Amino acid sequence: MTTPTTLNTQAAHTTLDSAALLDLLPHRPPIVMIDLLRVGADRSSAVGHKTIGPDEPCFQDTEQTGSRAYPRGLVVESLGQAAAALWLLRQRERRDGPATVKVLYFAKAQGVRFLGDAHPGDELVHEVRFEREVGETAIMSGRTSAGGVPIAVVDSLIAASR
Amino acid sequence: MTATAAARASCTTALDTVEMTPDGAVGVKTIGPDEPYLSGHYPGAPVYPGVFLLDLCEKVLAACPSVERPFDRVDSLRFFAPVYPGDLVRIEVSLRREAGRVTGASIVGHAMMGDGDGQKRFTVRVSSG
Repeated sequence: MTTPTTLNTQAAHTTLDSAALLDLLPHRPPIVMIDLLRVGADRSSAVGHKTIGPDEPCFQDTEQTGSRAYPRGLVVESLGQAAAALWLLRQRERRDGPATVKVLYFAKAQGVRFLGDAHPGDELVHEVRFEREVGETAIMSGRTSAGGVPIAVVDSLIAASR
Repeated sequence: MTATAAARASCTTALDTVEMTPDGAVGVKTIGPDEPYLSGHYPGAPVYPGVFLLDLCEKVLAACPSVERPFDRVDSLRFFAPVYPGDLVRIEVSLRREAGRVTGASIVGHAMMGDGDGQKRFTVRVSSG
């Protein structure tokens, strides 16, 4: 495993591209749901980006026609991956070596509100915040917008790593 | 305003069965190894994504005639143990009503392999507004 590739490291922010994200996350296509992550200097928050492709598996149901909204579950998954990447980056930097996470488990969520929908071609923008860590469990929060319009808020998301 | 269930794509394949109950509905699905997205979650250690269980819950809710629109809040979602390919998942939806109107639902998911006893894997509480 290699050190994450960073496109741009400055005093204020670090930007992780898709290769760097794949190096952190255990997810692999077709369920890699984050394209880019801009991490704040204090590693307590990040902004993730994901463009919804029209050829994603969820849109391959030939019995359905027309432009359909992106599944809510995948909106939450994408937000969760942005939050998880922030967490794993914190772990890797703290341990001064590569993270060895093979599996991430979604353990709990509270206060998830769906305010709108996203469609193919839209870019999801996730603002995620790292709240705290207990052992191999992390508590995070976040909100998602599409086209500048808020579509989801998550008050609390808890993930566990193995 | 969010889309109706019919206007939203799904990240899961169809439920095997859905039956109406006095309180709501029960949906059953066997998780196949070739489910969409599963190959990447995770290579060599497949785990059915938790958010996909939320997607399945939406399908059971959508089958309830008294549920006019998808709920827009997940008040709580808790996973007790992972669901794996090959598991048979049973999702029990109990609708909540106020003054005769459906305002939310409590959902319990069990899973079992083969003829084994079902173990509670997750609970979800959803509501509107």
